[in-house]
Amino acid sequence: MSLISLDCFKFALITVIAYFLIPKRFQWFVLFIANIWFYCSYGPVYIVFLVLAGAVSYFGARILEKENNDGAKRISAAGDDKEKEEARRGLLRRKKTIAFITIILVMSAWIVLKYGNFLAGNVFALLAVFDPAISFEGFDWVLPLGMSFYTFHAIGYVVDVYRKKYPAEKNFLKYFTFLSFFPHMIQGPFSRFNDLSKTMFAGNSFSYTRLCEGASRILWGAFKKAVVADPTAGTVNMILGAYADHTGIQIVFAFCLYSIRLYADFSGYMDMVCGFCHILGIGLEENFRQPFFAKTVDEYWRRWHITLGRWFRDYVFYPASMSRNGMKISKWARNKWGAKTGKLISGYFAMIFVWTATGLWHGANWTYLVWGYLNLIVMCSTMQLSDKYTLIKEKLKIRSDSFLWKLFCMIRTYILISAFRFFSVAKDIRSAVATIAKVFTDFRISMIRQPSEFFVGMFREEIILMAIAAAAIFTVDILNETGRWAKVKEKCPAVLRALAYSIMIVMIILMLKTDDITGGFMYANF
Amino acid sequence: MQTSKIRKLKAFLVPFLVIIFLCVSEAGIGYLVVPVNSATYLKKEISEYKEKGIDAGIVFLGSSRVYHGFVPEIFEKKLGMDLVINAGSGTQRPESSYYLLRDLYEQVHPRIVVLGIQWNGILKESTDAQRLESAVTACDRMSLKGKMRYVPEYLFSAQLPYFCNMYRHKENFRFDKIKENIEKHKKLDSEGIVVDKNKESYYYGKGFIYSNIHCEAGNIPVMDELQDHFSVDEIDESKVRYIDKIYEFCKKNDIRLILTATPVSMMNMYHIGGYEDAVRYYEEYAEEKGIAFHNLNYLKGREEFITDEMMADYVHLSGDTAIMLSELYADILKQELEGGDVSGYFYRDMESMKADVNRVVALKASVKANGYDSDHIQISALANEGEKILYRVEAGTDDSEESVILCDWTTEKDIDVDIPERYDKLIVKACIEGDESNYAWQEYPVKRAEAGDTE
Amino acid sequence: MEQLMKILKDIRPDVDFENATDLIDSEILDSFDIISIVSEVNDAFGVEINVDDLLPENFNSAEALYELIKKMQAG
Repeated sequence: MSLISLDCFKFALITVIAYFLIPKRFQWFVLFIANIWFYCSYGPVYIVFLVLAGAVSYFGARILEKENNDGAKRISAAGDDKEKEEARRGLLRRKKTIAFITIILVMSAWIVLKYGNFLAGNVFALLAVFDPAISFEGFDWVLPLGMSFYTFHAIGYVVDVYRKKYPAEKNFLKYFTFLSFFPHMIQGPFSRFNDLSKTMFAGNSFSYTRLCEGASRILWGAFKKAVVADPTAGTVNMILGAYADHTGIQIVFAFCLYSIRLYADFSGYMDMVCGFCHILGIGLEENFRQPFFAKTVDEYWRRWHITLGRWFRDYVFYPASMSRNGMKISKWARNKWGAKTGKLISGYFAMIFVWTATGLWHGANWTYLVWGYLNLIVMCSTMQLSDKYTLIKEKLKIRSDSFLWKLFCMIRTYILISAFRFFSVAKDIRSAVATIAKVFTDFRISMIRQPSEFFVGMFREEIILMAIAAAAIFTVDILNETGRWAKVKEKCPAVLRALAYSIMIVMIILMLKTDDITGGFMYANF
Repeated sequence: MQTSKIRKLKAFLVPFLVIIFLCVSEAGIGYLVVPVNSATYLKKEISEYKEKGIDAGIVFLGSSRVYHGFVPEIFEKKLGMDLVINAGSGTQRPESSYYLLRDLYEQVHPRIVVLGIQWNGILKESTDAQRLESAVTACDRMSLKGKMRYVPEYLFSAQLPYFCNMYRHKENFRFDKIKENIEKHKKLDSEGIVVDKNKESYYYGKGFIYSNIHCEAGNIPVMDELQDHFSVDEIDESKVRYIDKIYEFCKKNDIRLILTATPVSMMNMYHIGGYEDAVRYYEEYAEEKGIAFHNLNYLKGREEFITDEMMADYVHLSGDTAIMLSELYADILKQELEGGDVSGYFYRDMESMKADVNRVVALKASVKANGYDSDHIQISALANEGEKILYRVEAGTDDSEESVILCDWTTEKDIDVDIPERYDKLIVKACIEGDESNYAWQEYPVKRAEAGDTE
Repeated sequence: MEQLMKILKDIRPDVDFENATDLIDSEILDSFDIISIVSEVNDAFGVEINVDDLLPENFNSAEALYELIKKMQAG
């Protein structure tokens, strides 16, 4: 069901009402039911995978916890240091095995369903070099809803229990409620079990204040989605889907617009989901922090899809960099190149894992890998050459804290991020390269004289409303970035707030793209 | 204690203000985007009459067949009434007629309601779109109060947003359309209702819409008996319940209710499967309720004065035909209201119509593929069965006048023809022997079976 | 403690390690800094700080880190 639809609203409303009518001790059970209903509405068959992932990770975590406890007892019971060391090593070995098996089991279904076609396709492509008759049609698989998200939630949970961050959850239904939590099932944000369970299982009372705050956040998210993201989707898809039919300047524009559209869509979705959870009294992590104000690509990834970055940092970057081999490389690099570069080299080593995984997580295609590595290369080279940049800045007498310099950095980051998407958006490497080539071979700056050719498929009025909305979002982001937004909101008189909400609602109504059941009335003009 | 009460009220201030602002926006933006059309004109006229305190003698309810079919002024003149309103609207179904009637009753207190019914008006709909269109086109003609009374029917429906003018007409949120609309509003305020009579159809007055179009016989869309078929099993009881509600409302308020079926094209009527069952259903209903039912399809002689060429399309009358029909129907109504027996104006059924005609007035053919280039055609004719009826089948193409005779005049009703590749339509003709120049004809698409197809 | 301070200052001379208590929470130290610190500290103090110890409470201030090192040295 589409997020801005009557069906979704009804579902959310019923959930909220049921949630606050039930006594606090059983409130989480309402979520459990809602999660199942939500998941099954997309296709009941696939819930099997979710249940399996839940069961495997639940049991894995409980076994790990038992090991942790038993192991600790054994270590303290051990006589001398040597025995203690042996007990510790044994515990570590056992824990590692259990965790490894659990994670492999949980991930295997996801890897097969998401990457099966990709891997098999590549293997067959390789074999076809030797025997051209070999061909591969592709498996007719569908990735179950939210599998990329719940798989990672399950893995994170198991690893956290392994690391003794918090005890394993004893109640399987409670754990499953966390894993199947519908607000974060489709697009995240990634949550940690201990953080989310604090508010999820606490029992929350209804608060009118939270209702208003949540509702206004949901409205803000719906505003972003309906007025900026959805109307521009058509334009972007039309131009990028048929790059051969459009000029280079249109393609460049489409990528710039795509960044805005993706931000509005994704952050709008987050706003709606976080606003809804806020009404329930459940706290979700923020996933965006004004990403267009990032001055470097590295900073961008700490402002965009924040929880994904954190997940990879905690479960890929740190384990890779602080593993035995990681530490060896770190030491070797520091010995060879000194402390500063040394720290970078070991970081780069770990980043390769992170960005391979991040790229592939976004999609089972070589294009995503290339996209990931483009990000990696730019980030690493920025860090590596930071000294040289500082020198150049000094020579050109540029002050790092000057507004113009910061603006330049932000624009540069925006351009880079939009440019990387030449790969993530394309359906294969060849199209990506062809699109880039089109930009350079057929730029046609003269197209500027035909502005309507840029917003393909949008009416003038829609463009204006969209631009007003984009400007509003940008303004709020500026205020958020400079920390003034909270005060502005507080000081804003009720009339102005009501006016703003009304204008947003009206704009949503005027711009909402729905699958019109009538396709235009026959008698509309009579 | 006082401050906490004020604080509590203040908490509700913002949502309250939002609702106010949204209502203002709906009215304001509605003014800009709701097109100025027949519904606008009708509402304006009704409010003027309401202000003057003039009540309606008759209100016509029903679909576009009604608003193309009855001219209020003629009824006013012939029946000596101050006001007659034609409140037909696109796709109007009994549910919408009910709410429209209630709204109109509050404004112009009609004494007589003529409810236009159609053979498919009480059947189950296959999509929600028709129910919605019925509701919104009727609401266009209602006052705000009437509309608010209707909205609860849709409270839990996904179509509720369509009652919001901003949402329903958001395609009209374009500068040029808004400008045009504002000008139309201004013109309406300053000059009153002024329409362009050269358009295909235009607002004539008091809800009647005059159509300048005339059909070509032979090209009228005809139904496939398998698809368009009346059957008592397909009746949607909720629709019948709304006719009951209309009946109860009229009874309670001392309004005389009359059921009427507007005339459709002869060819179309003859093609509807189970048409006579539909007629019988309504006749029984009317008899049970003790109200009159006039089936204008069975008007004596209609095969001569409401021919297919006198229609705008297969179910709507041309303007001049509507004027002529209104003259006749006003006479019938006058007699009905005075307690007279009007059955003499009508054929009892299709059999009596057949006995009364002196040519083939309609035909229907079912075409089945008999392979790739051969079709089997079964023809029946609406004509006097005492006469010898001849049938002929020709083939033609859509983009030229060329035609070839596949089977010349024959008394055979079941005909097999071979159709050369380049023809895509069949022209089926029927006439009375000896009167071959006075034939009825209808086109049908050629059916071709691909290899392996089974009928 | 001075040894620790030296290591920290070497890696990030711009940070006020004497007073800061929100090194992780305010994202003053980034992940690259963390792995360098851990690597240096492991070497210098002969401990084995690993991923499991990367909790905010261990790294938010120089004192906290020092406590961790002492705890690990104690065994």
